[in-house]
Amino acid sequence: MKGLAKRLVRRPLAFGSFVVLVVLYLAMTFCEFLAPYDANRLFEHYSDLPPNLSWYSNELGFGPQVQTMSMVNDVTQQYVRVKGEYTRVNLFTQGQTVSMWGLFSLSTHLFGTDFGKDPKAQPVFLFGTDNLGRDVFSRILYGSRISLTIGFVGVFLSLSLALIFGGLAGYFGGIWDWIIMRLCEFIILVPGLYLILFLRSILSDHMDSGQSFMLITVILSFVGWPGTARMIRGMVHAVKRQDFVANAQLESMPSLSILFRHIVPQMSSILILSVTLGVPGFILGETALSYLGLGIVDPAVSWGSMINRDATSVSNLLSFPWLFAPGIFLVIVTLAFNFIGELLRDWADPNWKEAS
Amino acid sequence: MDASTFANRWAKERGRHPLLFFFANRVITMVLMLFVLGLGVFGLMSLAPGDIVDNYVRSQMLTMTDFRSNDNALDSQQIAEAKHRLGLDKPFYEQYAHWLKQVLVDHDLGRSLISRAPVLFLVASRMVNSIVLNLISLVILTLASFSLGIWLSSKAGTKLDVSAAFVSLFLNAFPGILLLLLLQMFAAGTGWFPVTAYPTDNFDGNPAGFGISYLYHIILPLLGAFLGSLGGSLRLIRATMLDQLGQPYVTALRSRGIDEGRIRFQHAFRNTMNPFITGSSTLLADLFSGSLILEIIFSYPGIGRLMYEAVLQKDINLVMTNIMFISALLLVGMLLSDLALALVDPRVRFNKA
Repeated sequence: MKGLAKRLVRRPLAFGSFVVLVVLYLAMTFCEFLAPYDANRLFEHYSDLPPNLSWYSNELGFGPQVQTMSMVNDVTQQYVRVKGEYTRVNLFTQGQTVSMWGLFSLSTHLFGTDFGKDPKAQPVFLFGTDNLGRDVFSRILYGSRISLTIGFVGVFLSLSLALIFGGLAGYFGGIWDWIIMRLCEFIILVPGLYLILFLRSILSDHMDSGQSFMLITVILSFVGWPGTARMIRGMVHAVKRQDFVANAQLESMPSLSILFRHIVPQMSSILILSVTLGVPGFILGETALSYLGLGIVDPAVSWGSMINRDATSVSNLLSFPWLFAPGIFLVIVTLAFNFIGELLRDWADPNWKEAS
Repeated sequence: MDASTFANRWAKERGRHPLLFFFANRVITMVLMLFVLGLGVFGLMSLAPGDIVDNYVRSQMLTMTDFRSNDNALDSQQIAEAKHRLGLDKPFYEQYAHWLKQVLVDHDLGRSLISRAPVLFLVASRMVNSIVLNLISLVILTLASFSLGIWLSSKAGTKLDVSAAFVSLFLNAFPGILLLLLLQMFAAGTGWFPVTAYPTDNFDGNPAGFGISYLYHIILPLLGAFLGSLGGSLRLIRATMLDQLGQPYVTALRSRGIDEGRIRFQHAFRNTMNPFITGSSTLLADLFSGSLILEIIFSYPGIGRLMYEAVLQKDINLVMTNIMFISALLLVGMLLSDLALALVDPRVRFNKA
């Protein structure tokens, strides 16, 4: 890790990405507190409402506030602003009681209005609402629980498989190598999408959100590991010819501990790199599956399922453009991981740096 | 002939015809893999709950509105008969054996269980659409990325190069689904382009008009596919080109006063082909398979959507035909790319096949 922090600070783009990711992961951790409402709370008379936070009015002066909107057309869901009616947005308000991390109940939220207590007060929607009147901002925060963790869980699974199989194939060679490589080729041969469709349709009946989340992760990592395993096999091949491996063998160390304690750490930088570049792949995989209706479905929420629900019909997007917000978050996260991956590539692979 | 002389003979023949033995080895492995794959598909199909008859019955029950006239209601005996007729009551390996016999002995791919149309006709008509789209996109992508990549590698270190590197990183990282959705929004918002990717005109009446209309319809999907893969290939070409241009042999060529353009194209460029040939092993299969997300977003009648629906409806004949065909192409592509590598790169030989 030497010099990595220094490099990070020197590259503004990678540093900015790092900060953005830290903020997003913190927001994911504390989403019950940061989100003003629960992900599935319905605001009956506020469906398809545009973002309504504003910063200035003659009545209340500067400060975060919400202008009352009134629906003029309940077919096209059009709203008009009501002149002179504003609600102040307060910090640390008492609002809906939610269960924080499933441990204790919490009714204080970072921001909110007096909606519910004061009959004139309006709820605040940073990114508007969807067609059922659910707050898009809160849903994005709750959805990040799935969308942001699926990458790391999935990469962990597929990298473990790849390390074990690729390492064994590369280190022992011979019949092991042959069997494992044919297995890899076979899994590559099976069209990934159809395998996913099959597995999903076999296992999909009556699953709750946690199970389907795990299932999607497992399927995606099962389809993804052979490519990495081939790469790791090649690297183990190269490393095992070095003297320190021969020394360890002469000291009659057990093969497995030579492999996992001496050879694998030699590849740590490449492994860190493949984690960083693998995470956005899994996030997008979840999005694609949810887009096809095979991923996360209501009442569970992820960015992919939000895109699938709200952002796939053109007419919807043209009349309610704020529903594209989860897509923007998706772009930000994948770009951030790639920018950091670019930095890590320079750090992990000096030859590549010469080339680029 | 005892075992040891046979082994000697084997090794000798193998030394004499390395390519032949390499080829035979790969082909035998290929056939075995395809066989196991087919068995796996049938096994998975039988593991999935419900079959095509159950799906059909369920959809019939959902659309049945008039309960009094239940002349065409399906009783359990009819259902069992239908399953027997389609062979669905047998275990999956018998179904597989039957399918193999039908294909290999009778040379018949069967009919789609849903539409009753011959599989060959369905697959061929959709595949043509996919191949045309993939070919156009491949040609444009190859031309653009190679010429841009080589040109940019001559500008290494300049501001242009830095910004191009940033743009290609950006394009490489940008989620493909969102790119396509944004393009479709653009089409719908401005009205300059159609939001679907296939013309409604008839081909037979007016081929030229159809062609023009077709090109007009596929501009946006093509642009999406192009931008989605341009970033990655541009980065790869630029990196390998720069890698080659830094090698000592290039310095040696330059010191002999050989024209820079000639060094670039005849020497460096030729050596950058290796990663592409290895990477193009999936090319053949990609050409014949559709891209599902693109086809769904732009409602393009390609092979991807046909297969997606077939898998969902458990239309086994259709699924098997396509999976076996694509997998065979993938294997052939891997083999061809190995052979092509040997043609281009004299260092690769098949002695250790």
